[in-house]
Amino acid sequence: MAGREPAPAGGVPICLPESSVPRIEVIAVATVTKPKTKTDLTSGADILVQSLINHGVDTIFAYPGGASMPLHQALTRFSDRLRTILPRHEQGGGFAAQGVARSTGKPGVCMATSGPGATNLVTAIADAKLDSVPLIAITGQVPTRMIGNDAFQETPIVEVCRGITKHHYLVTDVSDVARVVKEAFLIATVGRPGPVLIDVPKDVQLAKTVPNYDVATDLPGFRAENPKAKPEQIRQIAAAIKLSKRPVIYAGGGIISGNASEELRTLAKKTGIPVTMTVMGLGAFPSESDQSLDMLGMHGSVYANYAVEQADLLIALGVRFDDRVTGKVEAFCEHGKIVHVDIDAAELNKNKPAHIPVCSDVKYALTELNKIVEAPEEIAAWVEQCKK
Amino acid sequence: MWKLTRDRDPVITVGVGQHQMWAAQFYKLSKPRTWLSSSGLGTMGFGLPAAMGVQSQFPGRLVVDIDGDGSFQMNIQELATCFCENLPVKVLLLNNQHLGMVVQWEDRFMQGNRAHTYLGPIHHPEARGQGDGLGPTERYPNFVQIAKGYGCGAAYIRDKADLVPALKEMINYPGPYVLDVEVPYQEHVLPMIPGGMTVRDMIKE
Repeated sequence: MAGREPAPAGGVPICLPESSVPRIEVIAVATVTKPKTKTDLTSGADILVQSLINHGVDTIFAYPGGASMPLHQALTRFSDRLRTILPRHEQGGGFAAQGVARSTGKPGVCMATSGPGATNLVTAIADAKLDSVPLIAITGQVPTRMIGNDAFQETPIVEVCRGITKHHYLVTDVSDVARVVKEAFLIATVGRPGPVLIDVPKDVQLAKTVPNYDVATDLPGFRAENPKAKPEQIRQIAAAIKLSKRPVIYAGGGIISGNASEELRTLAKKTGIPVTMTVMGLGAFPSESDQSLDMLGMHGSVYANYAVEQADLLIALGVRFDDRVTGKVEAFCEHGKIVHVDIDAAELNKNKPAHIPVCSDVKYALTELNKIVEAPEEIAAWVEQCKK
Repeated sequence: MWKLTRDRDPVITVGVGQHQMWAAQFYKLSKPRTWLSSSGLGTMGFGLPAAMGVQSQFPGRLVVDIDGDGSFQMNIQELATCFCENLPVKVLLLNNQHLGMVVQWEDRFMQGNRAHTYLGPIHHPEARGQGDGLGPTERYPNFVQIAKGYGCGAAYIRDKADLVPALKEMINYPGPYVLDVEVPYQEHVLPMIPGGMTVRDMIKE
């Protein structure tokens, strides 16, 4: 992603879209008072909180400090619409925000002050990055004129989190706040979910401007839609399934974040193929089902690991061939053809070469596949063997 | 635990370590987004605050953090948040007084040499791997006292016979609750394929 240039010093251009300019009728009286309209000046803090509410956030985990006090004051003004829960350590707040995201699918939001508050969020942010959890982390920062001065409670948190965030922002101009929040939610949730950091200096929180919540995003190169499998790729997968003698489905966190559990169950039902899950994928397929091989990997079940070792077709859905699952990667499923469906092209062929790599949202791919897939001819003996 | 709670459609969170793996192996899950585990980064201390976040979204639901004594202490202060913000999270604490997963690797690959994996006082013989196998005579810390200090319900059990009634009490308690369950530290998570190895190297006992 291209870095943001700081706004030129010397004034913020105020853009009023035509539709929001009120018509003021001149009334012939001695004094004319300007009516209160939606286009009053609003502080950066209020704009940020209102933006969160506009994006459907109902809970935030926030621990206050000097550099984030204006944000906390703003939160009290919106407390009927946005619940602020005070954790006892910023890391607790960060993991709680993850709890929201992982259990509901909506982005979780946490907030900390500058310096030690921000650095206390680092672990939770890194955790969200590795498990692809949509998280918005907001940190207060020292005023813009003091950045780089070793100011009190200052840390260059954007620098610190560069490698562990999907994207990150340092907002230097109050007129950027609404757009940055909008972009952050888009980036956190579209494609492979991940954490986005928004660092907001105190003077930006206090500065005022007229907000435009309908502002256009400025993300050149960012595709705002999930990739979709091509029809010929779907046909290839269906053909591979039909011809297989010892197939196994290997499903993971991508099924959960992609809300594709139903489509996975349909596929399993139509084809009768046994299903094994990673620790991130547990719950995607019912463990009580006869077709479930439970978890695979380092501490996975014996039968799941043997099944993969002997499979001739491995259908990998929303997984990344992590080392806890594969063990020695060259030996993992060495006799099998691999179909790999993932929303992130960077994962295809990263650890294991895929014979049929498909960059796609897994729910879409499975929906299309379920329309044409047929059960492979004789796998009853294989399924029996897997269960032992 | 699973049998007692399956009708309630609970959400389970875990810390990291042996307790996490046992929960993954034995708790039968059937719906997406009912299982929360720090998997990629594997961060200890994840369980309690994650459960707190879930509870905030599902106020009436049963939310259980299956935790270990090491992981639990890393974010134990969030018991305060649970109490003060009315988030009645239940903590099922599998307490073996050790950093269980690391102990397992020490036992398997390092001849049992204890390297800072005992979570009690350093003068205890367990700290040097010379415990009598029955566990330390005084358990540390007193989680029941700590939980009660935070205003939460709490109980300690060591006998299998006490487990089901204790779980029921925890599930029905109207507030956050910590159930401290004494478990032996010699248990290993099995099966295990050691890092970088193959299915043929699987350890089953």
